[in-house]
Amino acid sequence: MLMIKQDPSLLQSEISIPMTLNNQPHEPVRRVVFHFGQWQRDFLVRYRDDSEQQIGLPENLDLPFQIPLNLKYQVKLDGHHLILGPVVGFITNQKKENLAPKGLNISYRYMRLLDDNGLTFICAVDGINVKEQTIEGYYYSHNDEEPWKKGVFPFPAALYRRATVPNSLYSELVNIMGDEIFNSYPFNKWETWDWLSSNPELRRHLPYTERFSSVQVLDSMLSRFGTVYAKQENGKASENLFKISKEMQAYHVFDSEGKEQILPEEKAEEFFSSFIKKKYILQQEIEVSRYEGRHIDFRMIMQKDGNQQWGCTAIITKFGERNGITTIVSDSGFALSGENALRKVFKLNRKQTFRKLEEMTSICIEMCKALERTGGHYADLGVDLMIDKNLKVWILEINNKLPDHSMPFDFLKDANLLQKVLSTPLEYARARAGF
Amino acid sequence: MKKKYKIIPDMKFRSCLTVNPFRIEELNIAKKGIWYFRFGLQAFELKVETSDEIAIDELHLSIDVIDQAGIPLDSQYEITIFGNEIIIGPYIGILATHEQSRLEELLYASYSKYIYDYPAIGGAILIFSLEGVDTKNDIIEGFMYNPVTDIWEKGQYCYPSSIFKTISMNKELRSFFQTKYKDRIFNIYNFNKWQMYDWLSNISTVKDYLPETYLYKKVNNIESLIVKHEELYIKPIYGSRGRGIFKVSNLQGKYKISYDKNDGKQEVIVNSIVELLEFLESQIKHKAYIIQRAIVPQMIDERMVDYRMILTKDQSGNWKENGLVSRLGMTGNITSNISTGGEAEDGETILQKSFGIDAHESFRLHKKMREVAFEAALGLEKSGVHCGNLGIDMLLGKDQQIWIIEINNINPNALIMVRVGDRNQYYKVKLANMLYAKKLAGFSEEEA
Repeated sequence: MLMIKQDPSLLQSEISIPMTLNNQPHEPVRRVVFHFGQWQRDFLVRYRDDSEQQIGLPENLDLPFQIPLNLKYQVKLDGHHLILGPVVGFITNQKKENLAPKGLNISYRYMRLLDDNGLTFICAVDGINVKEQTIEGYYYSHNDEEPWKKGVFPFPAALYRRATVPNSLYSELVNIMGDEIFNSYPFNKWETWDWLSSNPELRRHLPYTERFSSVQVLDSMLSRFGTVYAKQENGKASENLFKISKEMQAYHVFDSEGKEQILPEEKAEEFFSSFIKKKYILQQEIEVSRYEGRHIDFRMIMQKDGNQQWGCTAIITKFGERNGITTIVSDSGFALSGENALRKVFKLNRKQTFRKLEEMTSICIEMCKALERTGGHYADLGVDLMIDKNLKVWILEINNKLPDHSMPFDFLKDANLLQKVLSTPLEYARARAGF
Repeated sequence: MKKKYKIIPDMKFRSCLTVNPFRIEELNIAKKGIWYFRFGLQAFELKVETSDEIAIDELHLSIDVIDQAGIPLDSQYEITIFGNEIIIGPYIGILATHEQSRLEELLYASYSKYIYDYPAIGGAILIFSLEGVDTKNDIIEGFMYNPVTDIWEKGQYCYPSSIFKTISMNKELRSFFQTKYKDRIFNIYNFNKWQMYDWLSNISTVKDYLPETYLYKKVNNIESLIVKHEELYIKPIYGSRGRGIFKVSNLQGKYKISYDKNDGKQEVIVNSIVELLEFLESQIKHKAYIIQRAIVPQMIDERMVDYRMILTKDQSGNWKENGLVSRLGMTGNITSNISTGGEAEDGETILQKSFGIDAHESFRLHKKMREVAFEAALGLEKSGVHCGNLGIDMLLGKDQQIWIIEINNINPNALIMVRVGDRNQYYKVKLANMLYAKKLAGFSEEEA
């Protein structure tokens, strides 16, 4: 860990580094490419033989951004590349005016638990300046009464996307940063099926899905599965969810509140035309497991860690409302740890419980890897699984846009686990940024 | 998820492996020429054939190879290709005890838990004793797990690909296994308390977390040390569970010696250094001891608190923490060992209680402890010990300073996780041990 100092004795083109960094005593590096986030500049090296671990920069660098001098950094000399960091950014909002130190203090209270380690900043979509390659936002400064400080920064080495980024801006970001943005492309429900179902290991765990392109597709799905779910391709987990079955030439359509509509066949074209227009998918019904009439599913919090490896940080069982068709954990729903639920609901013994949890985890890890092979860079996903009556594991949904992990914890009340869930993506981002 | 295969005996050919054409392409073993088939340490030259009639998840292997290698047929195998070798496995050995006669009881009592999640491990798993190793004929008599019947089958088997060793053994045997296994056996060397200090105190990232420690010598350094540190622990080099530990306190001219007996604390006061040495000699006899500066830990209700962190390597070969447990000693005892009547509780809960901090702060402290533990684990490996499973005992001073007191690498017992109600974490430790052995056997995690 070292500090950055401004050194008036340095020329505009010079940087000073401690002697101890020189790992090639016989042929010390004379010129370096200095990296701070995505920003790079060529410098002449001056070695300083003092005990203080610091990097010296010339006074008038004339940069469009700041290098905060009150933070501790790590430094790596890799050949003639001198990398200062980690520089990590989070995009969390659309508008910078909605970012405020007070709110950040609450949402990112776990920051103070992490090491004073490089630059971590939070920004909004409209704070990104592609032309200048700078980002306006707030950075976190440890040991300060008011830890969030406003500033302008270079593009970071790793960017955690927690807000919707318009396509054109996203392309610009990729153009500058490459693949260092996660979660990258927000795939929808159709793409989940489309990307993953060609993998035979995963196919077995995915409910059969088709695009709701015509009433004929609906009819063929109904004749095959009896009951199907219609969901909006881009909708959230439980928005615009319908359960459809057919009896005596009439469609029975239940909405997520359980209200039933009965449609004679001849009304179908007209009724379902809005589904077709609004891009719905049709999905095979899975025989749900219920506990006291409640829907049960499992939220698997899948994250990459500081070793840049996928793991399951937490498994939370969600219980829906009595006789509801979803598991929105609302006032009358509740949550349990995965282990307790398997023992209580499925009456598994210890060995079976352990095996099932490991199986759920390994299916999800395989799925995360497959998503990265087929579609993008991900590091923080909320995966909803279901276990049917035959104890088979089904992948219901992958929340990749803005997974809000704190929600089930409102019920689970495990502060220690929540800390881990919230801080793991940052650990990953720092590792990704080279440290 | 790697593909799993069943081995089907083939009576028609000799030295031959027949595979579905689709798989031959996928495994990249279509080339003509020489192939070796490896199971454990044995390799057999054979030819590879292809046939449409073979199911996609089957390997038809000629019976002569199956017989010679002693391949269990009820297991599900993975395949890796390495150079000109087709390796099936994993074939993992667990060296569980010295005496053959104890194997059977251990199998069902404790070792079955290692394979609770057999599907994740797969392959052949052999449990054996040192006595069962026939070094002349390269045969091991032991018990092989049959996943179909869930029974351990007694028999004679060839050497496995990797070994998870859970006992200590002498130098000759260590060299024997090192010769055969190189880095595919872990926990081969079991260091003592002095070696741990001696090695780690040379490692810059760790040395600040070790209380000063000295080897106990007869005509002694104890006099100057008791003046310098006021309180010292005298511990047997090889002891565990807090047995045989003495605490010596300097009472200005007099010395108090405290030690735990089953029924509580014993105290002896002596009037001079000479008497102190005499007392210690009478207790210690000829055994090797260390002297360690006594750290004053943060206590709860006058009870000693220490922490055990369990570290394991998993299939990726990276260290992971598998839980932090705190142990509270009996009131007034000089150690917090649970075998002398202490209690175990969840580590973070006790961090919060003992320092009066919230979940945020305990998370941070826990993280710091984990980082120190990882550095110590890396330090041990730099010292030449191949580890895969460590129990790291730590104390926290009143200023939250972290101290590593002891590190156990002879299969530290994770049963303590069950005591704090985290039974799954206990199984996870066992699974991690097996998955690391699986990696060593040549079956590492798939690349993303």
